This record gives sequence, structure tokens and C-alpha cells, in this order.
Amino acid sequence: MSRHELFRESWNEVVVRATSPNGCVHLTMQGDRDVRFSFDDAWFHRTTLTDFTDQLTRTFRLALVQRTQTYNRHREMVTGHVTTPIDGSRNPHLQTFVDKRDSLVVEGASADGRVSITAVGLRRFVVTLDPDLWSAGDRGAVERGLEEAGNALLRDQFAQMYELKQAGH
Amino acid sequence: MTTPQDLATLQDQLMARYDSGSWGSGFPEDPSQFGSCFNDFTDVPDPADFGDYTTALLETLKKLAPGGFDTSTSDDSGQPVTANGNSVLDMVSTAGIELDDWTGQASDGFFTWSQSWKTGISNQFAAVSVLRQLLHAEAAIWTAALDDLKNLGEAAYEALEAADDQFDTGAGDITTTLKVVGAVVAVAAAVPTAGASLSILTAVGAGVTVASTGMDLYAGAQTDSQKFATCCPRDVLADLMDGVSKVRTAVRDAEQKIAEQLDTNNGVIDGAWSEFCQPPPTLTTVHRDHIGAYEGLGTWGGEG
Repeated sequence: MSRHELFRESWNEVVVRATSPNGCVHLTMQGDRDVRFSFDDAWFHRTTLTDFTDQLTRTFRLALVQRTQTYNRHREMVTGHVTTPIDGSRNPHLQTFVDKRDSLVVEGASADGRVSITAVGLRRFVVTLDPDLWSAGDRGAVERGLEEAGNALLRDQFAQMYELKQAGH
Repeated sequence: MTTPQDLATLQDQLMARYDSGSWGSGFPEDPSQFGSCFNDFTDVPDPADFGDYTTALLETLKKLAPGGFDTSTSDDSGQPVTANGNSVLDMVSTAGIELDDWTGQASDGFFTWSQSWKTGISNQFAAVSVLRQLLHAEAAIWTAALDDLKNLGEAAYEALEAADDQFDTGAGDITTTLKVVGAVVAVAAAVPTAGASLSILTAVGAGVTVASTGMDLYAGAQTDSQKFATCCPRDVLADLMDGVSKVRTAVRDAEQKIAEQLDTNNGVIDGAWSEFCQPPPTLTTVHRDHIGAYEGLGTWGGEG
């Protein structure tokens, strides 16, 4: 098994965690899949939808940073090679890749379509919840919907990134 | 320690990995370069091959050593390589005194010659020491170059795998550290003179430790690095060839330094030949240019 294969296999076991700035939204992600959410119950029942989605989008951004740092550290630990953010200035091909990556629009939705997440370049996130789902105040249902949407978003992200790599920029 | 054969194997592996990948349209213009990227380095000297020569020169140094000396190198356990002076040489310097019954012009000539004998030997010792340092530097260059190329190949292989991985975003550059072979010979080194006063020779620093099984690089502070994109094979190959080019340039620069050192020292020795290979003693009225049989004392080239 090559070093990259060892890394790929072991990465599946690595868990990344992020918490919202207000400490009430917790996100875990294992090996770029299996997204899990949990919310502080008291906060969930008294917060507004606007505040809720704001905390969620901030958590996504924090999780992405955490995931990238962990991914690179883990790769270095397994393969011995340092990984740094891609430097597009090294050649025009890479710059094109970086530009397209940063403008990539990916999305994911829950199975029932009541929760959706859209991301542009994995920097700007928009979370949309069906008003009925929110007003029902069912924390478990919202968590499940977000988890389904989050996992779908990751699948879309990897599919589009692979397509971008295959396109040769 | 990397060998040229290791590089041949590595480039075969790179070619095979490229051939087995699913690359969409991110093709390099000439993918066959994966399988030939190290061709310029597959017949370079194996650093281990220098060991016999440096060992032989160490034995020469021991024979020429007027006093104890430190070679400025170390063995495989990191201990400095030192040796005692050759006490046999003292017998030449004192021979004139012991030949009590020898008088006359030949005796005077021999006595005069014997008093400066050790200076010439000391200078020969220094010259051999410089030659040995240069060989160390050569070995160090190829050790560093081969190791750097191996690191480049392994990083390129990993980058190819990442580019072919549908669950790797390709958004990171893999970075590998290069030892920079040019820095290997930038280390200043003193010429071991075993107590001789001569200091006109210069020597590049090999920056190596010498082991019976080969040579390991001195961990120099100066390094370089090469980044590898992980998004498509075209960029991986471009980065690989860029890294190979860096190594090639570094080898050329380092070899230039060694050649310059060799030229400088040759010039010094030519310009002060009698300091290295002393004129024979004036034993008779026969001009010493016409006296032969000085085997072991060097070849006297005449006074010019």
C-alpha cells in the first residue's frame, strides 16, 4: 500500500470538530463524510431563524478551516510530506484551477428537500430551512435535515472538484 | 543512501502510476518524461564508490604525516578521523647526525637537504589532504543529488496519486525539502597540515561524515524546497521537471566550485613546486638535475 493509500485509509477515521462562536452549535465530520450536528436545546428553542442560520454558516466556515488544517497535518504525519495551500501563482494552469475552485457552487439538500445548504468556493454558505420545519421546533428533525444536507453537499463538492481536476482546468 | 539504480526504479514506478491513472484531459504534453525524468542521473557516480579512494588516501596521509592530524572528517559513528604522525619520517631528519663518520661535500649536502625534508613531506601531506577533501566533496554532491532526486520522485508519485483520487480536492501543494547539493561544498574547511606551516592551499568543505559503508551528508542549514501541485498530471510533471532542473543546476554549480578549487591548488603547487617536491641533495659535483633514482621522494622537475 502506497503512502497516499495509507493516508487515504487512515483519514477515514479522523474526526474534525467545530463549534459555533456562541458555543451552541456543534459539528463533527469524520473522514469528509458522516456530518453530525447537535444544538444546545435551550438556545435552539429561543433563538431566531436568522440567528440560527448565522451561527450555522459560521460553524461551517470554522469547520472547513479545521478540516483543511487537520487534513494537511494528517497527510504530513502519514506521508512525511508537508502540504500547504495551493499556490496558484506558480503557473497559469494552477491559477485557473484556483480561480475555478473558488467560484465553484456546490449544494446539498435533505432527503425531503426541507433543508438545503449552498456554498460558493466553500467560503460563503447559505443555509435554507423550510419555515414549517423551523416553526415546529423539532430539534432532532432539524439536526437530521442538516446532516443529510451536509453530507449531500460534501458529495457534490468532491464530485465537482474531481470534475474540475479531470477537466485539466 | 540513494543509488542511481534506485532512481531508475523510481522513474519506472512514476511512469506506471501515470499509465494506470484516470486523468480526464489534464495530460502533460509528453507524459513519457515520467519514465525518463532521471535519465541524466542513472549513470552518475555511486557515492559509495568513493569510499575506497578516500580510504586509500587516508593511508597515504598516514605515511606522509609528520605529526598527528585531524582529517576534518568523521567516521560512521561521527567520531573525528585522526591519526598519529609517521615516526619513520623522523629518521630521515636525524640520519645526517647519525652518520658520524660521513664527512665531506656529500655529507654536507645531505645534511642540508635532510633539514628541510620534513617541510616538503608536510606540504605533500597537505596536498593529499586537499585531494581527499575534494573527493569527499564529490561524494557529498552525488549523495545529496541522488537523495534530492529520490525525494522529488516520491513526492511526484504521491502528487499523482492525489490527483487521481476523487476524494482529494487537489487544493494543496505537497512540499518536499531539497538538501541543495550546492550548499554541500559551501562549508569552509581547513587544510589539515599536521603541524606544517604551509597554509597556501585551500580546500572545499565536503560537509560529510565518512563511513566505511558510505557517506552521510552533514546536516547543513541551507535547504531549498519544491512544491508539487496535486490537481492534474500535467502540473505534477511540470513541478517534477522543475525540481530536477534545480538539482541539475546545483550539481553543476557545486562541480564548478570543486573544479575551481582544484585549479587553484594546482596553480599553487605548480608555482611553489620546490616546496612540495624538494630538490635532491647535492651529493656530488654532478648537477642534481642529472641525478636520478629518487623514488619515494617525488620527482624533481628541475629548477626551471
